[in-house]
Amino acid sequence: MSVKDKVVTWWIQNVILPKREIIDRPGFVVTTFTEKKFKTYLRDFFLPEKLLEIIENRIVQYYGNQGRQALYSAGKKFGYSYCSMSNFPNITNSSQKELLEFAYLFVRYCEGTYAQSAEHNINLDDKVITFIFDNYIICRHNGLGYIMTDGGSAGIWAFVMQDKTLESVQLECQGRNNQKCLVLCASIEKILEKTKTYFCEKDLLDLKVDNTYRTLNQIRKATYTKNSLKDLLNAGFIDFKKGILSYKNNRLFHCDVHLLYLLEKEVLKLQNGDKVLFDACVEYGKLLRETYGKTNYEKFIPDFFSALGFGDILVLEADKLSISSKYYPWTVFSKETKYTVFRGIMSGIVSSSLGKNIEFTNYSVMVGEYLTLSIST
Amino acid sequence: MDDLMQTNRINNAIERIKTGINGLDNLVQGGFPKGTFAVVTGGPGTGKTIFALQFLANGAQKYGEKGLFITVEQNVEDIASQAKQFGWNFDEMENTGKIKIVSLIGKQLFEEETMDEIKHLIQENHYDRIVFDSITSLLNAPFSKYSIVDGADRGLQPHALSEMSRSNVINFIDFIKKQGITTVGISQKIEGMPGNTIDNVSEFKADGLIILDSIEVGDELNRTIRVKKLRKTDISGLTNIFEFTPNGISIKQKEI
Repeated sequence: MSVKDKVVTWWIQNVILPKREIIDRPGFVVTTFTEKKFKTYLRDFFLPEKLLEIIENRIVQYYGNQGRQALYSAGKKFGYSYCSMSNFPNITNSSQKELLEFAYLFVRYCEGTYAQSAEHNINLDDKVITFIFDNYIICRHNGLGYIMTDGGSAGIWAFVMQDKTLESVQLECQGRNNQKCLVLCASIEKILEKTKTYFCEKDLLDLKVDNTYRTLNQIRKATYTKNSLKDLLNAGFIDFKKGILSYKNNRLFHCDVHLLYLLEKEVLKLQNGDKVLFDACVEYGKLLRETYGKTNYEKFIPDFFSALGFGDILVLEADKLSISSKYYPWTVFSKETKYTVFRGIMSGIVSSSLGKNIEFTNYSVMVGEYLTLSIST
Repeated sequence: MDDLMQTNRINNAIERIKTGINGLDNLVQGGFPKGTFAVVTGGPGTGKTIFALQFLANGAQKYGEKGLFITVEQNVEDIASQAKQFGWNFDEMENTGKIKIVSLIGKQLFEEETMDEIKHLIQENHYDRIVFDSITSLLNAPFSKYSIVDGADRGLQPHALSEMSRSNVINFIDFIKKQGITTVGISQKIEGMPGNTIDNVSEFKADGLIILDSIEVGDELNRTIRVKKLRKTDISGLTNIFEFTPNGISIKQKEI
């Protein structure tokens, strides 16, 4: 087994950085670690790469630079809040040696989740880091990568250096026919030495795990669904080869649940953004249905999406069609979003299955000991 | 290197019984150690009986080993008919003395008389392989005198009965292991219940534990097998995929 495969095997066997990844509980994908005597559960999704690829394409197509900015902002906010929630080391609380070690481990983590290979060069004094990725998610397909490649990297680097003015640009991209993806994270001055095209986002939130988050995202026993991500891996439905997880050759990637919430928040600021995002997700849902090729969506949806971390899902057909997710991941943004991505994907799957237009336009959120999301036509 | 050589020496010293199940022997260093009592468990329809039938059929057909199938779940004809689906002619193997199927349907397994019958059958006929379907049947009531007395002393409270059932399983596995016959005992795994076996004892007492499962996504179903435990054997513990072929179970090798 190569060193690379050992690294990813090590990862899949549940250790991410110094934390632990729980993938054997239906409805949940969770990073867990103990902090100040509290057991903390960070809810994650495994998201289809194709979903973000379509979203980026459609947003940029409709909104141009305004759309690019929204995607970049979502990505940077996500990267920053993810680091903050995870209590990653930063320049104010760690030595240079610790930061360099962290950077090494983090890049290895990227190799296990986002890229086939990754290298980095770091200069802490100049606050510069460059990444060279091969087969990085999303951008290699559409040449965009504003959310994860640019924004995500910028947010992480801004947190590590505790400097919200640090930004990121993708100087080379496999999606634009370069050999590798080259990402530069640095100050605007340093970026200007390489390119005049970049985006800024300084409104970054230091999110922390509090008791509400802990309680509402606590791992609970699923009642409707049986499958965990580990089950799908073991049974060969989800493939894991060379650091890449995929379902029927469609890549999945691991991310904190804040990504969907923040993406939606940013896109909703755009005029008619909700509709454009919804339609993009419908497009993905239809594509997914064509991929799995069966009509039994009532079973496919809970079997598949619960394993990706979307909660304990039940599809109900009564007077109107509804889909309910008990234990849907909660964040502080849960009341500020319309669950457009989830509603859109489900609408696409069901529309394609039934051969007619079905839109889950309604949603309701109940927050008690956990979050229950219900969507209906 | 020294460790590797030592492991190889130990492995070479252990006589192994090939299951002949495609892909399984590779996962267990060539086969079950001779005299192993392995529990095969799983939910309904996961392939436990087929696994056991294949284990016996391969013993008889490929390795010239004599096998005994004890069932309390089905009659002899049903077992033979199930085997025939995969091309294993148990009628013929029974006629040539390679295999014996004993059905104990209707008999009370907890009665000492029945258990004595089983023990006699095993001790007198020099079998190389045994399948016992299923361990769950030992849970119904006590056959151990010690446990009966123990239970009676306590007024036969439910927990005492439960202890007696546990004792039945332990005593039976102990008896089989003393005979040195490689045995597959079938148990059940109940969805949502803790543990891998309904009895919650055999998985600890046995030398081996093999878990069969089936996972569904929409209309698709994939089957899995995991060797969770096998004494004297270096196992990965990973879950593998298997399928039913016309020749029985076939395990796909995991690629990582």
